[in-house]
Amino acid sequence: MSLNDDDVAKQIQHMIAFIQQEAVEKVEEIEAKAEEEFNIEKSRLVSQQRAKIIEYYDKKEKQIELQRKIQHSNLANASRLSILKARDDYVQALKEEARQRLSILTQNRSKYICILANLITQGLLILMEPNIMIKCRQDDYGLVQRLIPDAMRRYQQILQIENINTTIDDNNFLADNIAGGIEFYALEGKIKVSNTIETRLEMIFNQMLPEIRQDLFGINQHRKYYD
Amino acid sequence: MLQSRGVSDLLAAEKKAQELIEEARKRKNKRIKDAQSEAKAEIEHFKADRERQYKILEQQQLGNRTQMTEQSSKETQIQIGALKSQYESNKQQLLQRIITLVCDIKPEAHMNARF
Repeated sequence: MSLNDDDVAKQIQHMIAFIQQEAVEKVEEIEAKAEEEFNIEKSRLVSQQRAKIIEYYDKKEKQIELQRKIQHSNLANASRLSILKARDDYVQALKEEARQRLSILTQNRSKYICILANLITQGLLILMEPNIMIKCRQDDYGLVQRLIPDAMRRYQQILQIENINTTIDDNNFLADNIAGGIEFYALEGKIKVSNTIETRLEMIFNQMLPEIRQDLFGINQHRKYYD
Repeated sequence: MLQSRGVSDLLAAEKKAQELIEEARKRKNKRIKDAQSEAKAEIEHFKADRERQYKILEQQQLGNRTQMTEQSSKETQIQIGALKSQYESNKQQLLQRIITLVCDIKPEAHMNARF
């Protein structure tokens, strides 16, 4: 035959070498593939989780910002409110000071007589009733008694009405601590006109409020309408 | 005789090759499993970093909070103080006006009164 032992041995060596070579190549291929799949899987997992974590913390950080804004707004509100309250307190203080000054003023006899005379006349003219009951301070009783005839005369003169009767209540009096003035009652107490210094102050003060606020604190820059 | 030895050598080589390939496959599978645990470790690290970042922001915010409150109340007090000085300087004239108005009484007939 053509093949001797040596040739056969060589052939076999070649074949073994070939098998080994193929195995090495296959192993390399597998290892390359392994590495590739490792990387793909790892980065897939990482980026998936990363996205979730980023979203979570972004939301939490937005919450913090929101809290900050809420707090800021609350503080601004509270500040505005306390300033408004302080302003109102000062306006009320003004009213109180006015009342105190009026109290002192009405202790001036001659001034008070003039004021009281006018108040009585005004009360009669407002009511336009034939029978009127007058209530005053206990200390003013005598004074009112003296001023009534003249007031009634003025009433008759202005309205050209003769019929007018007044009585002073000698059982019930106004409080002693008010600045002065009188109250009128007609139709058995069904109609009441209060013409005390306090009620006048109240009325005038309330009507003047916009002016008072402006004179005390300046023109309001935010105001839009003046009519 | 030589033939059988040659064939057995071949068979051995083939078997060895298969073993090598099998081992490579096993390593590959393990590597892919490793991907999970390595990914997990990396993610934990990332998360810890982010958490730290967030905590810093939170602390900052807490600090700002007290500062904001103080500042707001300070400013409010200043404005209220300004109100007081406005009141003091403007009240005299107003008081005079009010008192004059209260004492200025004009008894008049009602405008619709007929006689």
